[in-house]
Amino acid sequence: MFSTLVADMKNRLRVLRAERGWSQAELGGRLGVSRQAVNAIETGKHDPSLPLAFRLARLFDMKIEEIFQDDEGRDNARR
Amino acid sequence: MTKGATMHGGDGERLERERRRKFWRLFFGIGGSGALAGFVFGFINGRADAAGEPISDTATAIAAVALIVSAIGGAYGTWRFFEVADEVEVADNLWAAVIGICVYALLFPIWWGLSWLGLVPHPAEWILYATVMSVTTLAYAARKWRARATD
Repeated sequence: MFSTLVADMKNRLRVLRAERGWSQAELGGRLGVSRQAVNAIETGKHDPSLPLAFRLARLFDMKIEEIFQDDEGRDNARR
Repeated sequence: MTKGATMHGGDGERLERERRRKFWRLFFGIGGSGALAGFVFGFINGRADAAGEPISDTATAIAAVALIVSAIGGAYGTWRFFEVADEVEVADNLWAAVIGICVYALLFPIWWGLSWLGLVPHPAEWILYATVMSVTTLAYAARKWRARATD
């Protein structure tokens, strides 16, 4: 349902957060979003906006595509 | 240096608590301004009904001021609310609003058409308003509940 609104996007946010020992609230505060927003992104219920994705990338000192991957990105990575 | 690297451990949680407090202050402020206007309006109307007299000019002016203050407070509060709300909160509100407007877009013309055919009474504005607001609130609550289900 509503497949155009929700892409099959995977992310490594939970792992990256755990590596730093941050709670969802801690990450949310650092990003300027709620704990619920962090949870929604981690569980794939919300795809972050481009500005938020850039904030995440800067915070973890990584590229956006190292944090988020869609189906096509995963297929290309396997080749 | 990244934004995160300049912060001390726990700063994020403190910022998140502050953001949440601001969010709820605005949320209850908007609701409170509406409730206050409703109370003033209801009180004046109730007193006039009990006395069996028409509402005086002074009471009318007080009720009008309460409604205008509530409208200005509500508009300002809503604007501030969406400044504080994050993108997930905005998306939840948009989602609920789209469902609400779809219900209105279908309900009113169908009801009006049926009334034109003489099958039902003319559309009642308060029933339309209550239905749209209820459906919108339910859609918002369902989306929040869905997010919480795997929290």
